[in-house]
Amino acid sequence: MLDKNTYVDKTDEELVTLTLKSQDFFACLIDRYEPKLMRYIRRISSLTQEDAEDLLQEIFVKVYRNLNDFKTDLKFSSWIYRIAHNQVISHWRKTRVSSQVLKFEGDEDYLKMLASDEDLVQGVERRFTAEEVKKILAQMDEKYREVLVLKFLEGQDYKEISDILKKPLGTVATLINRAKKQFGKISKENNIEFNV
Amino acid sequence: MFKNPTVSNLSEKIAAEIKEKKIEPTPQWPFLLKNYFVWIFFAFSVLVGAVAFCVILDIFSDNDWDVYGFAITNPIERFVATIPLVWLAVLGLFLVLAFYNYKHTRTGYRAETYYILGLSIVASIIIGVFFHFNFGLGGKVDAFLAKRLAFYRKVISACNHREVWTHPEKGLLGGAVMSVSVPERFSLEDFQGSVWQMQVDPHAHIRGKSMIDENDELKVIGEQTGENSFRVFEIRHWRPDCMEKKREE
Repeated sequence: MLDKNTYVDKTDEELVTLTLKSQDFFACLIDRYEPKLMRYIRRISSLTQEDAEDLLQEIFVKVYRNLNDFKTDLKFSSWIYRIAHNQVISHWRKTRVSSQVLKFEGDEDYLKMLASDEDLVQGVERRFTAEEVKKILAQMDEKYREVLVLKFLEGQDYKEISDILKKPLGTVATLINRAKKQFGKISKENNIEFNV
Repeated sequence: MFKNPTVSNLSEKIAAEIKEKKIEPTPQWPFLLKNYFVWIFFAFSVLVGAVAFCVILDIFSDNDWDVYGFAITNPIERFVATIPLVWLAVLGLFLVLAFYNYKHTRTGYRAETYYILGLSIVASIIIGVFFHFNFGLGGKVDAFLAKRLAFYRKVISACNHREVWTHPEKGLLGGAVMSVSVPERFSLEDFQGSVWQMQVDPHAHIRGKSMIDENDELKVIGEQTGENSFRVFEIRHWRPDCMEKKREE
């Protein structure tokens, strides 16, 4: 019997090595990433809690199958987020479900952070409320929303976003810039509505 | 299993699924193999690009730019005859394939498009120049394809400009030397099988080998002086493989 607490201090990479020796260690990785990935899935998709759990289960099985493909030239978190991202995209394609109703429960602090971003509020007379940010994000193109979610809600840096989306750093920077512009455009269009 | 009671429900479900379906991590070798294949295809694409560049170099170096201007009056035909469009297309296609393969290497996505395309172009140029000047590969590839593919021989090959050198009235004549009586006089069989008596002007310019020998394959610039006589102002040698192909036709 293994005590999971013994492995709390292990890095992701060490846990991968241990999992390849014994499947039992995979539970540590699942516990570490389950809440993060669940939030991420619900932020970028419109899946119900139940569907999101099913998808998450598929994601972890896929992660387990592909553990030997993980190389330390990128962070494990980037690698697992990439798999999650790809699975969500693949799920969209299969079900053709659009992501209009997005879940941002418990994201208030992060949404405020996004709302107070200097680039986003430039030219806008007031700061956004978390509720307004949710509405704006829901109206954005998926490609722009996903970079904003990764940057501001998941707290990933440019390098990590580049590894997750498999895009060059320059492209990530461009996407974030355009996402901010679209955010600003939608916010201006909706400002009247919000003020009514 | 872990004795920790806080293990999430999900991890239990996943552990059960893994055990029930006997799921194992895929071995490392298929991932490595895939990555090696992608790199091999990238290298192959760059190499084919290099060969295409090499043939382009060969076609350019064997090109009679100065002559096409007045031998081919139609500007579109002149453009097609002058620019090796098919090989440029091949070069472009394999640059795209090189780009695609590089992007699909393990960390290829990190590189910007201009970097990958730049790298592929520079690699193709360097290797192509090396092949051209060390092995004359472009000419060999051109001759190899021309011998086996009729369409290539007639439309694409550097040797396909026979018609340019079949205009004695414009001062352009091509063919093979049949006999040399004195260094200034020789007979030449043109592409229609007519035999011409050639008189070399004392100030004639001879590109390449200065002595004219029997069976030499020549492009001649000069003026027609009679029904089958021609005064020679300039002599260029055909690339060795070209005339042989024309005689086979």
